[in-house]
Amino acid sequence: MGDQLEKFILDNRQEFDSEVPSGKVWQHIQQQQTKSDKWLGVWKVAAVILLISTVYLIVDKQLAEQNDSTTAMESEFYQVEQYYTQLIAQRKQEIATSGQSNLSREFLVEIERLDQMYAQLKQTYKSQNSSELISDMMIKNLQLRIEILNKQVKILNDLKNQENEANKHIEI
Amino acid sequence: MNCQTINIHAGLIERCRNGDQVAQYEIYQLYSKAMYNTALRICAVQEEAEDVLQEAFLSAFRSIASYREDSTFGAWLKRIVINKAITSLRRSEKEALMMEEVEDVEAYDDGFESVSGLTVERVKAAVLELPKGFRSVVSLYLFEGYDHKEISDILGITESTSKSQFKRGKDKLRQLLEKEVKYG
Repeated sequence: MGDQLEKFILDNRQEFDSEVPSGKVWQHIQQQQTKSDKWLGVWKVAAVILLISTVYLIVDKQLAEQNDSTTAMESEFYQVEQYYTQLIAQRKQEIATSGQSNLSREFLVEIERLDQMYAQLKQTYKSQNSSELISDMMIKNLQLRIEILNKQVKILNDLKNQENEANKHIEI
Repeated sequence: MNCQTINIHAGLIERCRNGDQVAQYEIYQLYSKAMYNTALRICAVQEEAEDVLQEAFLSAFRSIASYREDSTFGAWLKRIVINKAITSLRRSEKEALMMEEVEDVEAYDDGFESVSGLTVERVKAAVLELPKGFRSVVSLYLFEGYDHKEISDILGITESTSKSQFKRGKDKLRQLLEKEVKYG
């Protein structure tokens, strides 16, 4: 190969690179770069926002799903509990105001024991992630107390009636 | 020693990787002239070559992280410039790069003995006058030092097409040079 032209080009290779690009080229490069830097910044911010919101939504959704069934059950249970405790407080009040303090005391101690048992159950219920078995036991405990209280109220009422009857007889 | 030439601007390149604009300007100062002439020999039009230069540097700065030090930075950059120039050449006109097969390669005379009074300016002018298909192969081979295997990769043609295009291109170049000697 090594012909005259090839040799000539090789020998004068540097001189062939004599043209100079216009100064505008670097200006344009700089302009484009700051433009792209700016856009890169905007995109970075946008990407971070998107990432954060996506992670938030996913976590939120999963937590919601996880909690959905248990919270529904829990809130239902707390409604039941509230209803019973209200009823129990009402009955206790009735018994306390009945005036038969001697008779009631022994009985109220028994109720107190059931109250404590209930408190223990509630502790277990909370620590065992709202187990259904425990909540059933708690509701039974509440029902039992209501039943006992109702009976007691009835007894007291009966006693009252008897006394009234007796008084009536005396009055007559 | 080879290692030294490869890493001659390692510090500058590292700073470019970190987006240092001063380092980028230094790199531009070092390489823009040679790269511009490479682009100009392929594109033949000043504005087109300047656009290619701009695109190539922007692309190089953007993808500088992908530059592995297995070649010199200049060779890596030149490859970007050439790719952009070829793309621009294909885009600027619908005219194909005239890459037909020529069977009888040896039929072309590759002697330049008859051409006398070669000057840099004359050769430069003749190269720019070549049809673009010839011009890209001739300039890649004669000026950029690629072999036919590499040229076939760059242009997406076979090695034998590259060889035949080169022979024909050089033949055309000789004609152009002879004409200039005669009439110029």
